[in-house]
This record gives sequence, structure tokens and C-alpha cells, in this order.
Amino acid sequence: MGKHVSFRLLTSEVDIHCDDPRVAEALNYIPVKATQNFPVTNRMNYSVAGEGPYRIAENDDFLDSVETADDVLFIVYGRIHRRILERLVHSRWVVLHGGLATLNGCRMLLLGHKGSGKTTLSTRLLFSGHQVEGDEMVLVRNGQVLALPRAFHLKPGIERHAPELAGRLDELPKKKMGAVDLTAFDPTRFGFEWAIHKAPVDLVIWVSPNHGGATSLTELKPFQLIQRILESSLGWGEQRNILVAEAARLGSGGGKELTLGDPESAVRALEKLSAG
Amino acid sequence: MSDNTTVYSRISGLEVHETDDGLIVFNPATDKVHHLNPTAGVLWELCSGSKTASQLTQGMAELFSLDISPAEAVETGLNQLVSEGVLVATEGDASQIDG
Repeated sequence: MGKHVSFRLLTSEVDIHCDDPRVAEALNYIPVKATQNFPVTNRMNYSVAGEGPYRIAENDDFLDSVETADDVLFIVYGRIHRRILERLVHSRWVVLHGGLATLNGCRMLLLGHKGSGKTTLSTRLLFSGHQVEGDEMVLVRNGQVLALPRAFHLKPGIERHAPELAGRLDELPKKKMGAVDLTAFDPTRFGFEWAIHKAPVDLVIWVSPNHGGATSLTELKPFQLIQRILESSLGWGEQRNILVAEAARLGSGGGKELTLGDPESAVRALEKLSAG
Repeated sequence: MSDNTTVYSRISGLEVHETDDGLIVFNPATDKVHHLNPTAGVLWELCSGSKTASQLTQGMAELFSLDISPAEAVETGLNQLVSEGVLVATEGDASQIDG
């Protein structure tokens, strides 16, 4: 018997069979209900045998043996994303650390280092009525950009910036990342439309943190922006010349630096920018 | 660094991307990305391997309609481009120099 966790991730279809329902519950951290209208060209099958310890297999090949359901999630989550990103990079996609949002019809690529506030900003944008396609990882090829559909990984304290989530976080899947409990937030669970598109962006924004300080938007010249795009590479093995070419294409018109004080004022600044 | 027979050539095998504020030059051999502002980009493009610093100075003066000779700026620019590794300076045969 057992349980299946099945989902789409861009052009891949993933099926995970587990004997233990506790593992299936932990793995519910991974699937999202974003609309993804891409043809399926790849299937990945995982099985998790046992009720602790667990024996994990990938396409019938032994992968790992672990003790807890959280460990299974850690291994399977990492493995699936690694496989998918390797395939994409092989197809000449570039992987960048960034989110994707549309305000007043202006599609913005929000790049920034880890901890810059992209996820909190993306969540605030969503609850402020804007379309958000992703908060963390984007793919770029020939100037076309799409977000990797994955749940937003919310950190404790998110309710301060998104009070709409207060009292509702307990119902969402969790995973441990070191000492921190991350919450998987799928916008569709809160009634938001979520669709993954492959299209150019109108504006590239570099998000730099200034938590607790003032929010501002300043001009970035093309080369300044290109440098930041290069810094945003997640290093999934892209050929450097492909990365440089994509960075040059994306950054050739320049962009903006968003110094992010608090998410609310950042949303207002981006709204004003998109309206102007 | 230059004398009147030194000629300048762009390093071969570079990938060049044009942007609104100049050129992005990627050198696969060193894995380095260089930004050349519009002026440096023009100077770099003029370096076809047959021109000396004084000929390049004359070319830049004509292109930018300058009344004052940009000799010093060109000299500095050439030195920077050489040290960046996107340009190479070689001893030319004055009799073979065009221009």
C-alpha cells in the first residue's frame, strides 16, 4: 500500500512512494499548485521504504538511508531540485538568486543575496494585490525569465510584515533548517492565483538589505547591474560565457537598486516605480 | 610603456557584449569580466594590431572632434587595457604600420 506524493516541477513529473504516512506528511513540504503549462519531458520516481530507518531510492537505484522523516525530506528535496537544475543548466538555462513579481503590468526581476529580504518582500507584494511568480530562484535563457515553482520558505516572525498570515501558519507544512523552522507557503492555499510564465522582464531590481532603516530606489548603470546579476548566479555549473551573455542582455538597459528598509515601504516604492 | 613603434592589438578569443554604458568583455581564458566605458570601448576597438599610440591618439581626436590632443588619456587608457589583459602591446615594424 503506502502513500504517493506526486507533483509537477516545470517539465518534470515527480512521484514519491512512501511506506510511512509520516514521511508522506513531511514530503508535503515540496509540492506546490502553481500552474505550469510546460510539456512533460522527464519523470522522476522516488521510493522511501520502511518506517524508520528509511531507505530512499531514486528510479530504483539506492540513494541513501536515513533515520527520520525530516531527514528524508532533506535528502529528497535536495535531490529533486538538484536533478531539475542540472537538466536546466544542461539546456543552457542560467540559475539566479531572485524573485519575480508583476506590479501594474510591469514584470520585475528581484535579485539579491540570501537574507536581503526577497521572500518577505515577495510575500508582502502578494498580500498587497500583486502577482508574484517566485521568491527565491529564477531561470534565464535568451532573455526569457521564469521562476522555479517552489513554496516560499517563510521564517519565524513573518507575521510582523504579513499580518494576514497570523494564526494560519500552524496549518502549513514545516521543515527544520538548522535551528530554524521554515514554513512552506503556497500562495494558492490562500486563494492567490499562481502561474509560472516564461517571458522577458521589464525591469531588473537589485534588493539590498537595510532592515530597520530607510527604503530607497536608486539608479544602477548597466555595468553596475550586470555585476550584480553575475553575483546572483547560484553556480549550478553554467558555462561562464553563457552567464555573462545573459547578464549583459538582462542588464544592458540598467536597472534600480532597492535599499529595503521595511517591506511595506518597499512595496510602495515599487508600486510608484511601476506606475510611473 | 609605448614608444613610437609599439602597436596595440585586442586579445583574441574575447566575447564582447554591447550595453548602454559601454562594452562587457569576457575573457574565457582568464574567466574575467571587464567593463569598458564608451570611450575605452572605442579605443579598444581601434586597436587592430597596426596602430601606434600616436595614431590612436589622432584617431580618437578625430572621432570625438577634440581640439586638444588626448595623448595623455590615450596613453593611460592603453596602459589600463593592457594591464586588464584585453589588449596586447607588441613591437611593430614602423615600415609596416598603416595609417
